[in-house]
Amino acid sequence: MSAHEFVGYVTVSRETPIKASRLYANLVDDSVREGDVVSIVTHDGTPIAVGVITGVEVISLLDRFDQAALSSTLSQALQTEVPTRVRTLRKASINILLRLRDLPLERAYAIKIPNRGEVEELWRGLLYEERKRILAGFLKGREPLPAYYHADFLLGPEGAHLNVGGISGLAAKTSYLRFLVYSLLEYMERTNQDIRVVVFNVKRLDFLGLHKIPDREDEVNACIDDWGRRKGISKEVLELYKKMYGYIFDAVRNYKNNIMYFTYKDDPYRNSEDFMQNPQLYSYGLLDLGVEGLIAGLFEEEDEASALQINLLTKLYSIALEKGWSLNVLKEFLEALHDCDKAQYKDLREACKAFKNKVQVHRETLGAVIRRLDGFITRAKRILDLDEPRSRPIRAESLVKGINIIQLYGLSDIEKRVLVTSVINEVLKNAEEMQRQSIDRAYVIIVDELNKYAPRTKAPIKSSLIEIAARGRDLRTSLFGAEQFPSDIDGQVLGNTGTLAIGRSTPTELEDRIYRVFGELRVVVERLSKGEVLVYHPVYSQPLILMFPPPLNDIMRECGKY
Amino acid sequence: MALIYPNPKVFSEVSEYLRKLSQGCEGSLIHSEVTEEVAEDVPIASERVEMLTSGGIVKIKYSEVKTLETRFRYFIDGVVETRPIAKIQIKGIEIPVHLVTCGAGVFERMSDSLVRPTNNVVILTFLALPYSAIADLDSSFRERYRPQGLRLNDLRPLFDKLPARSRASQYDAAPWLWLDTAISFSTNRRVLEKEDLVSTGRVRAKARDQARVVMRVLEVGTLYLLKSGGYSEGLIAFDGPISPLYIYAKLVGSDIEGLYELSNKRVSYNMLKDVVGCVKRIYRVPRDDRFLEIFKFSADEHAFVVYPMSRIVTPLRGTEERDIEGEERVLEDAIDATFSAFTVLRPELRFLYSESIVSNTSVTARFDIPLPNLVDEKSDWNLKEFVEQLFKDLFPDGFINLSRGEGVKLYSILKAVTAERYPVAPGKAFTELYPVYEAELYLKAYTKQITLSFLSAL
Repeated sequence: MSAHEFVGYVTVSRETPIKASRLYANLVDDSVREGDVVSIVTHDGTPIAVGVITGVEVISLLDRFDQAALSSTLSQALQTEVPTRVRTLRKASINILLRLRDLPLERAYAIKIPNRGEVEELWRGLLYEERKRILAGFLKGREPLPAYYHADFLLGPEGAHLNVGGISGLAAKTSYLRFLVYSLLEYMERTNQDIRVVVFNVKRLDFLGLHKIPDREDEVNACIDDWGRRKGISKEVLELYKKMYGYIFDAVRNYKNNIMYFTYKDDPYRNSEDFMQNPQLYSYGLLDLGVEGLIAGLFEEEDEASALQINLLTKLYSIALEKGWSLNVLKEFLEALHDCDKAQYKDLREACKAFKNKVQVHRETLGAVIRRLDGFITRAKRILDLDEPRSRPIRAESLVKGINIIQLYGLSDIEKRVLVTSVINEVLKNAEEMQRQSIDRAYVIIVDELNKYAPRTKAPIKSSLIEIAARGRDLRTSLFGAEQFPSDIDGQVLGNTGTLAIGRSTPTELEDRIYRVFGELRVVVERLSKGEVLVYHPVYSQPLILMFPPPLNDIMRECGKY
Repeated sequence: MALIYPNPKVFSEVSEYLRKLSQGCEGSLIHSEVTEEVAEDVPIASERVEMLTSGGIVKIKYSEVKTLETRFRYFIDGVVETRPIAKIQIKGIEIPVHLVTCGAGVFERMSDSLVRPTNNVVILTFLALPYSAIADLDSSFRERYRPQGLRLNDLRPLFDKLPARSRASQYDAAPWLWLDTAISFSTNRRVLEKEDLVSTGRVRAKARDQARVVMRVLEVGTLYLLKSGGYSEGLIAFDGPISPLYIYAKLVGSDIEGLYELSNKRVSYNMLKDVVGCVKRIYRVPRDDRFLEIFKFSADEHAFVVYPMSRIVTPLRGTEERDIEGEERVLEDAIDATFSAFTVLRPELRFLYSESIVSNTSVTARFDIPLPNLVDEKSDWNLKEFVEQLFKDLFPDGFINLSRGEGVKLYSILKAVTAERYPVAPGKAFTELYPVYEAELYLKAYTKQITLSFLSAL
């Protein structure tokens, strides 16, 4: 091994001792940064460990600020040339990710950028079973070296859920989720697992057009080149992206027909094949909503409903179920309850009387429920079928093995709430059923803007999400959420999330205790670039900075050829 | 790459000897953090000396320093660490044994303005004990405990006797080194008798002083190595006064023996050319009004006062050199071939750090400029009369005469010195050149590493 491959030398002193999990190095390569993964080698180049650089300090040989200042500014003021450049040292602290050899760390001599073989050794150590590896991204470096999540810790049963945070516009949150969607396809194809990914598309085109992938890799690469040229991205970076997509392209191409789109009838995007292929229209009748869906539609916050209102609605829903009522019928019935004799139909009049005999109905309660039902019907008309008790809801059976995109964009808050509640309940029920029948099926539910659905404050469907967070690991139902500020997310939801990823974020956000898991690397979050996330995952002994490529559907769309 | 003597592979043999010694002589091994150098006093007292002539003033405009005709390229420094490693008892007298690690080297300022070590770095590790005095005290000691390594006192001239870098097999086979501190390394004269052993302070001082002489020899030796090969044009800053060059040349190599007393003019000229001694601690200052010029602050120009040195030498205090017979004569002859320029190197700092200034001399630096820097080899530069006449010609009215070529050269060298005022060297902020500070740091790190590797073998 030649010295030019070394990017630094292990440096032991009283101030910087070698510990089992940590050592220090003097960096000689300026391009090495915090978050870089490095190999720690002996004199002859034998790798003994792989570590991650958690801090870099530039130290001057001058002791004091005034000496340094005098040596630069004052001398300039005196118009004197400074003949000697003060030597600075780049002190790196390195946390050990994995020991590769049973050699004492005292033998550590130099550090270098790991090669493919050493990275493979790292993953063999961290994540021995290849079939449990889900591509998580790529280690920072000059060539893309893959990093993986452990499937058991991402999709259950050992752990579950993932959350991505970071300020908007820096290609961290949704872009990373889109990359993970493709990565899950690759995992499915490689392991032949039954995974049903359910994605709620909340922002315009984010998850639309995922199927628009050419059949040949060279066509993808040509598009990346074309797109990159227009964006002014360097050739080296574009090569990196191409290599990254090389890892998953086959699976994406093979699975592109297993991408199912669900949308509502007025969605302007549903008629273009560029955005959706054969979209399934969804709509909900009263009996499709379930009592939880009905309550979610009527009340913005769960405990906004009084006990009397809940009692009334529960009883009404059981009758509706028995009699096969539509929403319109329910509305009519509620109005009739003021005076049963005024009901238009005989059976309604009778039902009304029978109901009153059993349930004491307060006029105020009734009035409030009627007003809310009116509001619900008006504001959720794009997803509701008022005339039919049952319509075309999204059922677990209609979710395909692969990717299922559910269009939320264009819907009102109330509509989103009802739809998300309904789908989540459907998934949970199916997951329980699968477990009962010992069928190995995993669900991944992807919710962008999770803060709207599971905030720290009250929210209508939060309980469903808390349930997934709490039971998902066991039911193999994993929630992948994204939002700007993870500190806004409910503690129970985030607390059960095994994998945390964060793109560039603000210093105030990073003060929250949830970021303690990132240890010293927390400071790098403020400086992360586009396409980079810092990740905490249970099988990693240290958090890692991972790179991922820009979303392929955006590239294809902007390329304009596919 | 540094030359390290001996090969650290033989450290285990040294520790074996030490163990045998301490077991046989009711002694013990010591793990001391404190070296003899740390315990040394730091003097601040100064002495004014009469001058035969008034100094010559050179004032350099800062604006002129932007363009240099010559500049410092090489920097030579040395470090030494004398660490008590064991104490033994002979006839009830406790005697310290020291481990000495000393090093010296040539450092080069490269085109990127960074200072880097050259190949001419030499590190020496040896045991130091007053062997002859102990043997006189107890004759059985000579038979039973004579060290098996090479006696450093026998390796004179040192750079002729140490195996060269190219002779790897010899280097690998070289035994470990030890120094008999009862015998002067420079003169081979006996300096400690058996009666002296009871004075532990004197025994320790001899170990420290002789270690320092070895370091000085290494400094001169690395200059010798530089001049022998790989030297390119540029000034050489030699840390400390220029006198060790004259004194120790004969201990370095037979090729430069002629530098001693300037006995060989050609050899002396070649060795001294481009060398400037950088003295950061001044003990003697001239009793001369012109000397005070250096303390007058000016924002526009820098002042030097130059003397042909005959009396103002740094007394070689605290070193074995005091024991050299005829020391004064040697120094006077040698110093005559030198101009010394006093200056307040960083006058601005006097106001910024006024609270830390203990005396005016503590802000004063001296630069010894051997005459081969100024004159042609064919001239009589080595003769006292020539030097005195040259000084009169260069400073006819007390100020430098730039119409003479020698004056222009002196002016250029002092401009190069002025250019070195920044960066500020930590620690010796007023007087040390920054590159020398980096050289010292590097050498200290290196010697420390060697010492630690020795101690770990113990």
